[in-house]
Amino acid sequence: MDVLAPEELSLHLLREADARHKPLSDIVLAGQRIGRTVEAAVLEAAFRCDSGYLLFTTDDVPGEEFLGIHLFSPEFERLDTATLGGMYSTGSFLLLGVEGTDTVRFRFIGGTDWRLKVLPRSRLRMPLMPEARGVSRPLGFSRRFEITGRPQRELSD
Amino acid sequence: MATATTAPAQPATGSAADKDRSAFETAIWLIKVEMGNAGTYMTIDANARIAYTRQIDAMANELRTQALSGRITWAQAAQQAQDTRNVIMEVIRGRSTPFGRAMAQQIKAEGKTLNELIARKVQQLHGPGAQFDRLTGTQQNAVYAEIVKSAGKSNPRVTQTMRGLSRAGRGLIVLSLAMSVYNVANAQDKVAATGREVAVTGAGIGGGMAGGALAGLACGPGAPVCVAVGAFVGGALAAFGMDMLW
Repeated sequence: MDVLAPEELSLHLLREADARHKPLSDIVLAGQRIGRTVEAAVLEAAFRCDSGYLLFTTDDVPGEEFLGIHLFSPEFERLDTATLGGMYSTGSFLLLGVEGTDTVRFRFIGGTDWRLKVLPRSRLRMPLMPEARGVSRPLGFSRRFEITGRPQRELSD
Repeated sequence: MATATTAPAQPATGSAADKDRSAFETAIWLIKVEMGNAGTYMTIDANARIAYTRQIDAMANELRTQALSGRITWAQAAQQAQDTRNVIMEVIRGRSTPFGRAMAQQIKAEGKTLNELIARKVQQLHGPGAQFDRLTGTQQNAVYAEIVKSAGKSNPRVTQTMRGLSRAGRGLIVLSLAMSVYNVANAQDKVAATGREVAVTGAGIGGGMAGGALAGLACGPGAPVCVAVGAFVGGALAAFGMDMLW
């Protein structure tokens, strides 16, 4: 899995987040807009992997940040997407490293090291049953990556 | 059907039909109580969210106005925006239901410091490698202004979900009220039936809040499943208790 530099892949902001709308950005590959959008404002990290491209994004809402994770095919068809975060909480992305050809380690929220593994093919998942606390996905029965972590709860008010 | 939404008395005879009818009426009665309970939870949390969205927006606008008029510097505005936003968030958490508080506490925050936010905004506005110290005063103020603006934003992912919950919560309350109205309309003593419906539904909601809060204390912060179970059980027990007293 290769980390991509901003010159290789970046986002062009089309719409900032407001109370009613999620942010929206064009995906820019090697300086060219490719006609694909992603609901995000900031690209935190991007990778090229066997399955295509893996993007970590945020909304530029520092007080209540969610991490968007998007896996695209080499033709930029969306393969899987998930968000990590919680209401009235926030996170800050830090890339810890890449392991082998399919795994990324990072920190964001919950005081834990998160691990994302890109799967070689779709796997069954139970809708509404998150793989870890704070992870949410659109309604569906399959996934192309799995996220593991042991997020901590807040200790008290 | 006149007693469909009141806690049914035990059948006088022990026939299977009477037992089935009693079980059915109890289930309908419990559904009515819990619909009112869940609807109230959803509505309170959705209203708290609306208040949060408005308050942080108003806070950012006020700080922007003060900075533009020269009453405070942009640096002070950025610092106050961070601090005030955290205070507002805590106040809103306090206004939320036990379930809403548990949801907010279920994952520990890892926010950025003001200096980290400044560094990030500088990169966004002036490209990689740009340094805050090397910017002009006007450019530095623009960075602070962006931080104030960001502090006034609530995440639309949460706000949209809450908007949906608000609609669902109101729908549940209306359904619960409709069942109560039906029950009163079919009762022989309408005054007594009205008093009973108000008391039982109120007890269900109050019991739900108390049960959720107690479950939150027992399970610790950030345990929404435990709080939901506590709210359900608390609402049912309080409603049953009030119905028996009545």
